[in-house]
Amino acid sequence: MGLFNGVDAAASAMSAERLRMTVAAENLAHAGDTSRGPDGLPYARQRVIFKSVLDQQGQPDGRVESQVVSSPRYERRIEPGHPDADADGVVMTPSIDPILELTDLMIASKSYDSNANAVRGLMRLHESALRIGQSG
Amino acid sequence: MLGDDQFRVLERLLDVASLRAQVHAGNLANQNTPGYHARAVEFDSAFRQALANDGPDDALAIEPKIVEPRTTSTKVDGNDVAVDREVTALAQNRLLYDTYVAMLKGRKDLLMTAMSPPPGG
Repeated sequence: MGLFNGVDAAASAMSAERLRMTVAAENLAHAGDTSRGPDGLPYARQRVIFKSVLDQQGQPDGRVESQVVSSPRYERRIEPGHPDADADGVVMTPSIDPILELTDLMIASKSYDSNANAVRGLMRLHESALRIGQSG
Repeated sequence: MLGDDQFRVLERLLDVASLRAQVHAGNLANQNTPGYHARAVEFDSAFRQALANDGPDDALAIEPKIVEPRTTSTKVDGNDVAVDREVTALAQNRLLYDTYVAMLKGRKDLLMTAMSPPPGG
């Protein structure tokens, strides 16, 4: 295992957690969005999936892979005359639970911090090792 | 002198401490990965025992092993990383690392003193 494996792992986790925060914020922003895309459906709720990166032996090498997937769920209400209503007067909004998104945001932010601290600690280890060569 | 047992033992301890830091940083990175099992480095007790019973040559032949202890409770997503444990393991490891560095540097400085010309030369 190399000198910077841990730093690489923490960096990959930090970008994964940041992606998760971005996605949660996007979901919240679109909570009441009734506008329809080209497919005739409103914004689809996004989720971030985490996976371990495996080395050649099939063992986790510490890094994290993140992937955005959409899990579309909608709420419908009858509101004829709404600009985004369809022929039957149905208006669709993405089904987004603010509590779910906010807890996701909180967990991601805490995890981001703990990884940032790990990077700081690993850097201190390397700096400490460099002291062996110094005189005095 | 430079390759004596104490140097080699300290060098090995420093290597293992570095490996341990990478492994625990990897655990922290995977604290939200479903199905991930926390990993740890197994080395100290076997090394200590070999050093006490068989001497440095046998002890230095012992390689660190990366294991999945699975002693912490598993969350619903199959992940068993305990963040508090990982953070304390990293902190403890950092202190040990600094100790080994200080000891190595102490021995190096001793040699440097021995090699330097006498004052007023």
